[in-house]
Amino acid sequence: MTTASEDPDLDPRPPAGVAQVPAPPPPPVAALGGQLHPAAIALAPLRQIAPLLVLLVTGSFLPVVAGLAVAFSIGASVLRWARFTWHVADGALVIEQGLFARQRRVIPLERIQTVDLVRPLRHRLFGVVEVRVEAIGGSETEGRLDALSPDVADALRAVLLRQPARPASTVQPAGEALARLGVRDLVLAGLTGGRIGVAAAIVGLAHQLFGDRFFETFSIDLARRIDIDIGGTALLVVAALLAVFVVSIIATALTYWDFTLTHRDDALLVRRGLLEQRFDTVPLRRIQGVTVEENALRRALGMATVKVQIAGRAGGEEAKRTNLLLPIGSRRQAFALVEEALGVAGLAAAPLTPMPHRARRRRITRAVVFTAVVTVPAVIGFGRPGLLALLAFGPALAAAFAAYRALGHGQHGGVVLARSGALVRATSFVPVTRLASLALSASPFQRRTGLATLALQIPAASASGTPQLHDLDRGDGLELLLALSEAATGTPLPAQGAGDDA
Amino acid sequence: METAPTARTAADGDPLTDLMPLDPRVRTLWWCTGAAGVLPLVLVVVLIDLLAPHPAPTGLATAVFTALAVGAAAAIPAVRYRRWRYALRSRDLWIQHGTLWVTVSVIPYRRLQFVDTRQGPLDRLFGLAQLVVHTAAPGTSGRLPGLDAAQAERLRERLAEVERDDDGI
Repeated sequence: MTTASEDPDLDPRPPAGVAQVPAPPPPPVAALGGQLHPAAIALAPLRQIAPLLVLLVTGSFLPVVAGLAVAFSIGASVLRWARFTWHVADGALVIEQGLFARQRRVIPLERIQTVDLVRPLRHRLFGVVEVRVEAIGGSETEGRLDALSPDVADALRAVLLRQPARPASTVQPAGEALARLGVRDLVLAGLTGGRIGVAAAIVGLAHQLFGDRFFETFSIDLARRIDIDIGGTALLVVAALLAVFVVSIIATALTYWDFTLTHRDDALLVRRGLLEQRFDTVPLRRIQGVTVEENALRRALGMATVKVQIAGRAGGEEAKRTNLLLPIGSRRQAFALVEEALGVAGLAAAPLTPMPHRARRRRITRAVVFTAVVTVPAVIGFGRPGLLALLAFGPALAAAFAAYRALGHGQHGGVVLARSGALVRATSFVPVTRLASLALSASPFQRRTGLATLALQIPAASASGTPQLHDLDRGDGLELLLALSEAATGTPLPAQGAGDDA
Repeated sequence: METAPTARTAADGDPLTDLMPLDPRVRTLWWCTGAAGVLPLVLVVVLIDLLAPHPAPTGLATAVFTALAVGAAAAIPAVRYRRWRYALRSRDLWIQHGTLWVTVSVIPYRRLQFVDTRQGPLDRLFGLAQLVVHTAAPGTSGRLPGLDAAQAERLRERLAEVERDDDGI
């Protein structure tokens, strides 16, 4: 584990460029702004240099051309830097850029959701920080300041989130951290996480590339040398598995190295990363929902992960990683974190109501029908050996029962709980005051059995993450629609002028 | 509908029985668009039936396909019109829609981000407009097609006056 204090750039020191900041809140908004750190000039060309070097080395590029390309890249970078200014004024972050056509972007502070400080490797070379400001709406990062000195970045973060000016990068002694990951945790996370799939794909690709010739001769050779008959393939499988595990562990370690989660000034701070370091700040009032996820492997080990739902952060893989409040931890730790994030005690022990038995029947029917569609042709096609396919009914039915057992919903302290998922059990926690809208929908099959699914629609990056209460009794669903919409609102519609209820 | 939930606000009553239908003109509009969608397909089938050699008696495929297509084009808009209902309650908007998958949405006015009215060329021909309400949640579907154009405009103005949360979420 590394500690932040080893890093001279991120040491706590009085904010130099900013006026003496008095006690919080609110910090002075004046006089914060200017240009990016001059290091920004070098950063953009640096990013383009790696592919250039490859082209040079392989000889497919004349040195003169390469030199011209570098010169052009630097020139463009200087111009971009010279024409890029930012400042905080009138309760908004203003960014102006563009050589000929000036582009002016105004982000009101009340729309800002999170502020993340990112330090990729090349930024660390210059001791600067990239600031990413995420606001509601849009699928991209709304405000990106490529290079600021750490002092300015911290001051800006404090102003944007209306927080006391304390560097995000300094984290209190171990006692104050809500969660910290050691090497053991990282290894465990790598072995049980979704990265295993990615790693398997990478190893599979390597096999595709060097595949048959290399691997087979290698394994046969190996088997001959070790002198066992079954050797070859078995060894190959073991080697491939090992490679998958190693790749997965390394990828996890790179992303979550030194992961520390702290609760400070009504915000959650996450610090993580080995090569690219991140310091993310999530104000508690911006949390729309929290989800505890336990995949089958982790559930067996009593482990879980915690994800947070936020309106701002741009989608994709990176947002998925950034929205992870706890990459891995014990179940107890996970639920304690949920209570801390939402400020509601007793959520871990809140009772969940199971769904009606009709929901189980529905899952069983579905499993039987799907399995039959797959296996019956096999039985017809292969005759007697095809009967083996009928064995598939076992796991399918087991999965159906497990899926029903996972279903549950409840309410506690103004928070709606929804649990589902057989393979990955997800328990979502949504504060009623965060509900933007509700939808109760029913498929033709659900309508026949009087069931319906309630979607808790909260402001989040994507609609796919909407927490749902699957297969409620339709009557209960309507009751919930009424009760929750009642709890979420308070403003009546102004009296109508012209009659329009025709 | 089958279950009558207890009404929490005395003035509002049961939201599901108080739902209002869309303007009937929108059903005619959907029949028109349905016919326009089905007609080319019917023509293609007629041409194949007449020109391509096949064992079935000529005219059979055309008859079957035309019956199915006309039936669908007539029935779907009718079902959709019957399903698509809404209610403007004192604090929230209720919308029910869907032919196969039936959804009842509740959108509290407080959570509205902005409200649009839209009018396509066909809408204009029929004197209709669409009202679309947006919240900060990407999953919200707050669409009311087929309102009388003037009424849609009045609704938009009324909804625009509602007090909302400062940051909209």
